[in-house]
Amino acid sequence: MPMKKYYRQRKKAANNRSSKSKKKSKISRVPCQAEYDPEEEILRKFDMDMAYGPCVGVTRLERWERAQKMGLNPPQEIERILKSDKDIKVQQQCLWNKKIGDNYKIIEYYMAA
Amino acid sequence: MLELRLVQGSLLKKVLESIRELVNDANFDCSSTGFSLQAMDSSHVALVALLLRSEGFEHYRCDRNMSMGINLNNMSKMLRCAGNDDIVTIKADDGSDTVTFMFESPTQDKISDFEMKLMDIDSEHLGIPEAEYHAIVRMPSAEFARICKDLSSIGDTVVISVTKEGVKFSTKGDIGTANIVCRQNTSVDKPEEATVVEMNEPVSLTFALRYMNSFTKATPLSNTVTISLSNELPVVVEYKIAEMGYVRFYLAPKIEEDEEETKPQA
Repeated sequence: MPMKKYYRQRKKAANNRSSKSKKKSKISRVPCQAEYDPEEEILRKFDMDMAYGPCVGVTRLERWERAQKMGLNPPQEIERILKSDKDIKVQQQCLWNKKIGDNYKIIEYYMAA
Repeated sequence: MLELRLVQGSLLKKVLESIRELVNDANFDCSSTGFSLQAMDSSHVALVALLLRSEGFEHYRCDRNMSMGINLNNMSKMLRCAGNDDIVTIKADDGSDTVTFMFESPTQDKISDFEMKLMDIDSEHLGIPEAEYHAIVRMPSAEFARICKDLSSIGDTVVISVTKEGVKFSTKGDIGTANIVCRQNTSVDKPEEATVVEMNEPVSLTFALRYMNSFTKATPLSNTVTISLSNELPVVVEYKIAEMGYVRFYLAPKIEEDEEETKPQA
């Protein structure tokens, strides 16, 4: 049974940063990645790179090892990140995975606006 | 220009304490309706939604909708410098990249101001519609906090089941199992001590206790907590903020051990 979308998309709320303010703030804001760090960014790019096959249904490490076996030469860096245990934020599941470990993700229930 | 004045500044202190462990950085959205926030924790398993309605402030001015990206731990540090009886004012100019917090003692003889740099935070807002829940439990917030704390000394997950008999919280771990049943009890001296269980359909869901223990940091905000459950939805744990709004926590359930690798069923 296909995934049922329970909730309709919500209209995006107006954001003042994109509105027509006459003066731009001279001091630049501090950029911030609220949700994930640079290593997760690298892993997501790996998830989306179709050269290594689909990412859904396998862990990232399984997919890397599969690509390695098939002679696709996946970047060593990916293996290094996935096998390092220093950073608890490194996700072993691909970014489309609806679960994190054995817990569902909240985003599976509510659609992004 | 944004200028909000809250005589009961302690409310804002308590609000920050209730969410800063769950979420590090978030956007506060200000509009004419009020001051709100919606953010997921880093694992995307939990979500917090805060609303402080404009009517609850003694003075509320918000010329245009704006989002302020704030590190919640930093904001909490500043708010901790406010006395519990202080009047808190939040100010931000359009296009500015800072926000100012001003604390005035009730007798007006001590005034502090703190300025903080804002951040650029890309966050997606989720559409959370009103829903009919299978079961709604309203109970003393301190009791719910105690239950979550006690069960977490035994197991990592809690099964919350609601039947006609009441609500049951269960866990199991290496040392054994624990069950806590709370029955409906409305014959109490004060209404906030009552436990009310509304059940449309029996419900049983499993959740990670560590998130529940983060949610119960909001206990100082309200004497009662409302727990809304449906078999196919995240649980909603709500603490009302008197006269002003609420802090709501949403938590996705854990996958049952014998469940297939499929999505949540309708």
